[in-house]
Amino acid sequence: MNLDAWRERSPMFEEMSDEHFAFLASLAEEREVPGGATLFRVNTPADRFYLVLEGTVALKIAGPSKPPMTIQTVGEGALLGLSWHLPPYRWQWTAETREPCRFAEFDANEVLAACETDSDFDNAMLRIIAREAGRRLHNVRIQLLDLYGRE
Amino acid sequence: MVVAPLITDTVTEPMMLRPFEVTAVTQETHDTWTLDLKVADGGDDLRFRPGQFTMMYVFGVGEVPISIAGNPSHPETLVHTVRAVGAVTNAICALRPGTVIGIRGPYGSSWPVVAATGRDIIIVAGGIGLAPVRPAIYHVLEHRESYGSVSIVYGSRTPSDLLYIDEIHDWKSRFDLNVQITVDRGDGTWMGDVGVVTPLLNRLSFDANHAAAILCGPEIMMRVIAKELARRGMPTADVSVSLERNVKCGVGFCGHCQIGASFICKDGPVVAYDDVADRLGMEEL
Ligand SMILES: Cc1cc2nc3c(=O)[nH]c(=O)nc-3n(C[C@H](O)[C@H](O)[C@H](O)COP(=O)(O)OP(=O)(O)OC[C@H]3O[C@@H](n4cnc5c(N)ncnc54)[C@H](O)[C@@H]3O)c2cc1C
Ligand code: FES
Repeated sequence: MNLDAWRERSPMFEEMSDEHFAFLASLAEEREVPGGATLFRVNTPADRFYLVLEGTVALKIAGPSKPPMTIQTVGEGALLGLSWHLPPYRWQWTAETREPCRFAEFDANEVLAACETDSDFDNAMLRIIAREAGRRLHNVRIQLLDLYGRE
Repeated sequence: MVVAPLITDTVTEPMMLRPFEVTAVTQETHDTWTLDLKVADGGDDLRFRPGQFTMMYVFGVGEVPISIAGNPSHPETLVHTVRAVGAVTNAICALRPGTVIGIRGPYGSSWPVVAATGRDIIIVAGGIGLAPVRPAIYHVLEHRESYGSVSIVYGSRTPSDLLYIDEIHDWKSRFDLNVQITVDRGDGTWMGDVGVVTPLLNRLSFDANHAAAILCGPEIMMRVIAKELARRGMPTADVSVSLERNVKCGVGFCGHCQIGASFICKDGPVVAYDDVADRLGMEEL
């Protein structure tokens, strides 16, 4: 898939070499999903990940005897799915599309196989995951500050 | 290029308190009210530029700085949106139509909506910060053809803390506006975004070298957004922020609001991000 436009828009790919980016893009499959669909469920095998090209996805988790609650939404330019590269290789959340969405979908086994044969590519992928995880952690910390409450 | 005209302010007597009558009160959220006021001394309407504030004086209680939240081309109604956080703001939020209070102003600098004519406009507000930018939004929408793309990003604590909900729906229904809303915590019915405002910038298209950003909200939010805009290639000289700290006299006499050589009440509240970048989000400026 041609994902060149996303290289600039998404901070994630900033550090990736052109060669690795082109290779990653070559593994992407375009996928359209209607609104209200479950992309993956918490605690099931994390065998793929996505770059969100259009639309919004809600990350949900259900507390004991509580209905599922949206913790965060991710939209255009976000990497959806971090659990595929690290044990226990299971989703931490349930992901549900909020509206019709378009994704670049990656088969985790295919990407992991490439990571095994090319340690530089593996490094680049780990950096992307670390970056996205760091970004989410930072955002959650800001969310916890209750910024818009009484300062 | 069409230059968007704008009324200039006319404070002739900076310390003069004028009587204003409350004509309407709207509850926005559990702790925030919008008041419409009209001049009660038979004098001129209070003309202002977007981003300016007045000093609102509740007789016998005290005086506080509050941004003007109304439409600059309708100065016949002075509009303020106030969150009840302490003695004076609680008293303001308890006012009912017919009551008369004292107003001084308008004071302070303004959002550079005229200088930004012809540019893409990015407005990012958090919490009560939507009130001080609303006059800028009115101006831009009234002169919509004078600007490039216009985006409004607004973050709030919960869906029930969102201000101006009917207007937000109107803005969202326009094709010439990109409106993105997020809340820190959703509820069972909220189908919008959940999370901080920063990732929503990914959804905006703008020409980084020909844009102007207007940021108003918690200082940490403004700092994070300014950095993200810089990452997208926008010169931070084109980013304006509003500082809302420590204003007492409002006219540069008392020194309460001084930062370095500047006074928030006179040189601000709207300042260039570059001028305060290293101090934004610090405990005390
Ligand atoms: C230029 C400017 C424009 C402003 N515009 C608006 C506006 O449009 N709407 C609005 O509701 N408020 C606005 N404010 C904030 C408002 O002036 C304060 O909330 C008010 O002065 C508090 O006075 P009080 O007597 O009610 O509370 P106080 O008894 O003085 O304070 C009560 C509590 O509120 C907190 N507080 C005080 N000042 C602020 C502040 N600036 N922001 C958040 N919390 C504060 C205090 O830390 C304290 O915990 C503005 C401030 C400035 C400087
Ligand atoms: S508030 Fe008195 S100098 Fe600014």
